[in-house]
Amino acid sequence: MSAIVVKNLVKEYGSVRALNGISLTVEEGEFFCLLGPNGAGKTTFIKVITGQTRGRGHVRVLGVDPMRDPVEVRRRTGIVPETESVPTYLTPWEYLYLVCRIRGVEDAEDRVERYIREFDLREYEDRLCKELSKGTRQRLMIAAAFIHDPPLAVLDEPFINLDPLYQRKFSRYFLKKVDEGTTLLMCTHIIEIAQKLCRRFAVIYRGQVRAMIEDGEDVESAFLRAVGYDAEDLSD
Amino acid sequence: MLRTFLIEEYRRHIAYVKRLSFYLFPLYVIAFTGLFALLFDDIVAESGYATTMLTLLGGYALYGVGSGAFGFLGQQYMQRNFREFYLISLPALHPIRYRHTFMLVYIRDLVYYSVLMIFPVTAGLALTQPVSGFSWYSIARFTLCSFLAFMYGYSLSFLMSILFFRNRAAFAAVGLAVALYLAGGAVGVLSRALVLPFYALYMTSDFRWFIASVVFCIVTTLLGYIATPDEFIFRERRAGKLLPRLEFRAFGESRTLVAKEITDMVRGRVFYKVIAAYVVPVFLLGVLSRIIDIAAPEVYGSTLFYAVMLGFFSVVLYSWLTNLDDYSYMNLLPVRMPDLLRIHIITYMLVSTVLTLPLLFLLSAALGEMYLFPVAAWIFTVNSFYLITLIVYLTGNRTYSMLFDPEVIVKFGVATILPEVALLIITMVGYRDPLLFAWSIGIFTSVLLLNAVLYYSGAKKRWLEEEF
Repeated sequence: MSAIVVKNLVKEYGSVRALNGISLTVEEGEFFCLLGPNGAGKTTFIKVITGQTRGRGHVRVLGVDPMRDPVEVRRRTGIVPETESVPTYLTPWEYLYLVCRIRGVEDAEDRVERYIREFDLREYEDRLCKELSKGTRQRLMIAAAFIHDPPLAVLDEPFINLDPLYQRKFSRYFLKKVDEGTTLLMCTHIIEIAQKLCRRFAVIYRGQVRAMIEDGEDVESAFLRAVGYDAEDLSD
Repeated sequence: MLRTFLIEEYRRHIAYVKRLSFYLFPLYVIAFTGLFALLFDDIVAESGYATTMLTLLGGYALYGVGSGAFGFLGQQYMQRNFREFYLISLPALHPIRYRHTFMLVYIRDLVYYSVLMIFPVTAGLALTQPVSGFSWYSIARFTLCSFLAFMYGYSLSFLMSILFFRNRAAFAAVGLAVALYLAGGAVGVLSRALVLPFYALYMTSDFRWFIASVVFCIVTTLLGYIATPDEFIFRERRAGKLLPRLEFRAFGESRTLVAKEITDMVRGRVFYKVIAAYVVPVFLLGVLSRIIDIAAPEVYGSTLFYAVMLGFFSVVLYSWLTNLDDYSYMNLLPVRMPDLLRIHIITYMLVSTVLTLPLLFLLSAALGEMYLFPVAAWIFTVNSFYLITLIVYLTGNRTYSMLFDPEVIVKFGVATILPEVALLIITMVGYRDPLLFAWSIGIFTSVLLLNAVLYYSGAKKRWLEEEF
């Protein structure tokens, strides 16, 4: 069963074509990675499949069309955005509580307490979100994406602003979620981490899928070839 | 550097409204002024020359008050986590002082308000001069005095907003002094000329009032400049679990988001801003009304008049509500823009009612019209609801488009002027024929409510696809 099916997806911003006929499939329980240079269209792709913006083409996320029912897609999905976007005047505890209430999580307070503890947010729980460091905000965004136990999580640069300790900790956390049956779709620039976590990769460049990379291939070389570079071009 | 600030502002406006709408705005002002010039003799015959001029120039001063309070906004730009970087925040990264960037914003906005509003009025007067018969001297005199009136409110508002976040005690002391000074003019302890020198200049052409106006603007601007701090230190704030305590069952499924909005208002200290953006203009309107005797308390039914006016002014609160938070995180949750707009309306009605009804109650008691309070409360509530649904329909969560989008302004004007004037007329007939009044107010408020429901339904469809 496929968690995400995308066929010939197009998204235009005025005269700029951000997505130019993307097709790919992510299977249930898979940890799938989208690779691509800046401006390749990764974030736009995530916005379309999570119903944050509209595109043209066939898209099904957990069997739901995000262009017809974006609320249902977002109800079933956890999303970590590229920029750590948090409410200005709420504390981390209150933000997680708000997320639980909007998503209809039962025993919201108990769940929030657990996530505050698991994501090392205890010492920040009574600070306003706007005053948190970028790394702490990023941890909060990841906690908010998983707090309702979604069957699918979409992670846009989840390791950004995290120190090496938390990069390692969250790598383990994501793998644990995959073991539990959660499907993960991740965009990242950090090929080394992606290679350790994911089994399949798609390289997006100029709004198109330029290559599909399977487990066992040299991801960095395949990525560079797909975007028109040779590994030797970049060597010192 | 000023050029860069002007370009930034231009692009910000274009982001809020369509480019064509932005360019059309001065043309609308010219057209409206031309129409006003042609009707000027009739207006003067009805209201009197002095009253008409005082209303016009006083209006400019009030406009200046509303425009100059960007100190609040500047503070927000630096304190909040906007996705955009604004030039006013340059001192955080570069060797330039905040007082310089604030002064650049001061000049930038002055240029924009002059180009978009003050000079188009002059152009409208000049273009209709062959028909209206205004002398070129009076057009020039009006332009000068309207500019000074705008600067009077603008510079004072700038100083007050700077003082607000520099030193609360100084803000309170200067605010009280200004309020007493204006009140002195309202009750006749001080001469009108002393309180409103730009008006005295227009009426007497006495050069001393020109000097007084210019000195006032320069002194207040300089004080604001000097008072602008060199660094912004935001104390780390500890906050408890307020949100769950504000979830009221009465709001059903909306209760968590309503609680979130109220939490924002409490922690964003909106109630101070309400004083600046809502109570102060109402106070100034009261002063102006008192001076020009259009709503003297001795007139029967003033409570109802104030109910209509308070309903009109309270919509300012809505723009504070929509600008309190960066709502982009809602793109990640299973909610859509109409859900947020519904929450805004509920919160607005709750807060504006809680703030305004006690004020209306006190007013009716002071005027000896307690028996009118229930009707006044009903009129205020229906009028506020009508106005807020109209604004939600027209602007969604982007209330800035109210400022410079002529399409929105014209639609808002058409949809508000007639009902508001009709409401005022109905409230004035109350003492002549109570039965007719009861029927009129019943039918009219029902029509307003029906329209409000239609606007709300329209807004849900119109803003469905909008991103947060």
